Amino acid sequence: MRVLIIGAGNAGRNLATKLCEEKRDVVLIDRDPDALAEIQAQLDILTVEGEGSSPVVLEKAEVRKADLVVAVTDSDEANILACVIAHAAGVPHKVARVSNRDFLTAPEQLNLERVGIDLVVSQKEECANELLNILRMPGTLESVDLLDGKVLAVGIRVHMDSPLLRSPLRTFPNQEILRFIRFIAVVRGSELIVPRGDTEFLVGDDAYFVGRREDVARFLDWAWPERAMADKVVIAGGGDLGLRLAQLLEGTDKESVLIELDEERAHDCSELLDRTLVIKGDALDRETLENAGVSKAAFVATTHDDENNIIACLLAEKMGARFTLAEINKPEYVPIVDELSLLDRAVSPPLSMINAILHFVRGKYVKEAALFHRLPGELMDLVVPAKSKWAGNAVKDIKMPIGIVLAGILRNDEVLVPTGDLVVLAGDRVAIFAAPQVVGKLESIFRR
Amino acid sequence: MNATAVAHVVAILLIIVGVVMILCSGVSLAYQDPLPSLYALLMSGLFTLLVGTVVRAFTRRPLDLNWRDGMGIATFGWTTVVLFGALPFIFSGTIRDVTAAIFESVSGFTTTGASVLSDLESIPKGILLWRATTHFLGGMGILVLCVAILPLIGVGGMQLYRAEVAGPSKDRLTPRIASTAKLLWGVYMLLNLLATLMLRLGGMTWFDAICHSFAAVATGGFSTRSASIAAYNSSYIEVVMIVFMFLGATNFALHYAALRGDVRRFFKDPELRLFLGIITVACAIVTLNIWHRVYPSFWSALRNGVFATASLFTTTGFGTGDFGEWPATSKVVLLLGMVLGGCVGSTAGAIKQMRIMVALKRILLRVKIFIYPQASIRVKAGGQPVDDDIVTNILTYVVLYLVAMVIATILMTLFLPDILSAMSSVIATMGGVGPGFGLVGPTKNYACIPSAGKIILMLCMLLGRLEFFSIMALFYPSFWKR
Repeated sequence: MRVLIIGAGNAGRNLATKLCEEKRDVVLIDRDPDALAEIQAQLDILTVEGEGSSPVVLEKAEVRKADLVVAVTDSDEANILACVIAHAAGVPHKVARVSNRDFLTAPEQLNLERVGIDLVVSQKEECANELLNILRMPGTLESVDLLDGKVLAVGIRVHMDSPLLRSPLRTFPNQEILRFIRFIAVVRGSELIVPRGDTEFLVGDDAYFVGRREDVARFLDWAWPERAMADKVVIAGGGDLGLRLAQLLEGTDKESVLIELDEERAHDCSELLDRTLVIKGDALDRETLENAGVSKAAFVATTHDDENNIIACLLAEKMGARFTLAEINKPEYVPIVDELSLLDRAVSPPLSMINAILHFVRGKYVKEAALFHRLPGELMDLVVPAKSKWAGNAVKDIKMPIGIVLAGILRNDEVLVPTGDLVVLAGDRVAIFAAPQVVGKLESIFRR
Repeated sequence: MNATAVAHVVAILLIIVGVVMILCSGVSLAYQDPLPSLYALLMSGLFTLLVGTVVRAFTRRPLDLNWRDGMGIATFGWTTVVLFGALPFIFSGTIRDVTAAIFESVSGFTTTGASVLSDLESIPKGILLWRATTHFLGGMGILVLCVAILPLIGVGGMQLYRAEVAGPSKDRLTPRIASTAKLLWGVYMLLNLLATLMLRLGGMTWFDAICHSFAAVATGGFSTRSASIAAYNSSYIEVVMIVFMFLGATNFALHYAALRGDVRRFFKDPELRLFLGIITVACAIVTLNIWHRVYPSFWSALRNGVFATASLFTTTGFGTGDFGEWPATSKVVLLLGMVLGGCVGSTAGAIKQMRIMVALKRILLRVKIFIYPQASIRVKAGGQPVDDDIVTNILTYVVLYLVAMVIATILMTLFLPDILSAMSSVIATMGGVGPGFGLVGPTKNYACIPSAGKIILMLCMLLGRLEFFSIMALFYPSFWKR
């Protein structure tokens, strides 16, 4: 598959890296020759210098050969224009990034789908949803919805007092709980381990597992009873992301407080929010944080400055925040922040958006795919085709490449736990975790 | 530089080379060569394969290669491959002196075609085939072959490709380097196949046709006859050879475009036009120069003049007439052609036309700026502006090439009695041509040069083939730090 990416910013670069790992043909267009030279030195892709919305440049990049055009520059108009031209050139799939929410909420007659853009994504929107998900599942490293939200994939850090440390999976004391959840991966340092019966956990491991929402909650209660719960969320920064998160939080039972430095913006925010308390002040200021009641609350830093966000989180944690989250725009910072354990979770809007785009890229045979920030590899949501090698076989008889874990099955709206004797049927929706080196193999199993 | 990763990839190269040697021993068997040469090929093949397999088993497959690893692999890979490539010559007793055997192998893999052998008709077929095969493997590049046929990791493949296919060519046929490498090797094989068929039609045996097509398309120059192409005395064969030497010295991206139906790019390409122009002028000068003085008839002057010019300007090095005995004007023109070389992205060596073109344009612009100090001027190639960085790189390369040539010439005067021999031996090896003038002329060979001199020339060949920088980088201490 040939993918044309327009814009070599954070989003474009990371998307190119992901697609390149999957051995897809990637062509990247950007105005900045230096940025392109840098990427070209690292990735096996073709680069074209020029304005991505210019027909001449698109022709030079052989847009007509592309199967997918993804426009992720900073300009909504340029992205949309590039996609429209790609549509005219007969490219089957187009994805445009927008930052103006109006494009997402437009009425059907004015929808961008009408000009051939299949997917319109917004970094802030995707990121706000991700933040909400994390806040609903506090204490986890990250959590992702699968199979229409019926199944949850969650990562937790194994702490010193965790009951997981007591014995290998096979001889676990509480087998009853384990029956309903499935471990898909363990990350130890930079190593990815596919858990088996004899896998033992160590302190500091990140364990990822999948299960029904209620089973996951039950498991978490057992594995980590004192995990941080917070009824209140303090958001620092009333930008697009902070505001959107506050709006989403108003739909839940959590109390929310928004801190915004700029008076005018604070005013605008209070206009758009009902239940949320909007405080005008600096999130790096102790007194403001105290006023907002940060102690025992969850704290989310979403100012535009990565460094500020990190410092604000450190301050909030010092002041007793249960759980701290920061928006980190530079994806390169995410692993550093995680390694140093400066805060509980870092989310990156470009990565959140790439997640959404990758869902779409795999759309042909995968209903949905998810990327974790810290776990290499992917979680996919697939439908078992009638002709596949899997249909009609019991789970224990299916030969799966090492690194692929069958995490859950959805049949007739009912979630089944994939035990050895369960027979997989054609039409089942399955959640599968694939380690990076075997992601490509799934395609051969599921291609129709 | 990641030493185990480099060793791992080098081991893979050895496996490829070993397998090819064993295939050659099969041909040796079919032609009923004397047993020692058959065993020599088989044993060299098995030994190379064994070393490759063992090293591969004890090193880890690299997950990722960086730019430095790529250069390390290019340099160490080539050095290792040429050493193992000399084994059949040594084991079979064809070349008793070890340095001379390695010289022959370096000359083959770098598609130079400078030989230490004289009586080629008495050499067993299997060894001759191996000798031609070194041209075939080295022509498009053994690392590129590796990238094309082995599913190495994408990034690593790119570093290998860039380390071997150096030069200012930015042509990428497809977004992914592995498929680009496949296409290049595909085009290369196709040219070889065509050349073989055309030569066979001209009356060569299948064996000779294959060996000569390997040597022509790779712009190498090893023949299976002592008298080289003159042995066939057929103008048809000469024309076919000229065509394929020329195609070998043309940017392969143009061949690919032509195969896809875009033949016009051939004639629009500024580098190729320059190359054609230079060759045409050179042919005219040489032909007129040797007419009467060497060849009384115009037709034989034209025939020999054009062949020698095409052969040397494409850095191949086949001979029909003894251009070593031609007048001084012809010699200078031919020598100049050996420095200029073919197009970028081809199998030819030397400085290459694209660099010459950009360097000349830069010089002319410098003059223009001298006249109009306020002029804002960009160097353009084929209507496209060339980045100042690239212009600087090209000028650096040209200067580096000339400086290296001078230093090597001075060193070679220690081993050769006259300046012409010393200089032409350096020019002919660095540019991947083969025969020079004087003592290393087309009717003589490199056997007379002492071992130390051979080692200098081998270095010239490797530097010229890998375009200097990756080898020179090894002499920077920081290159070795991780």
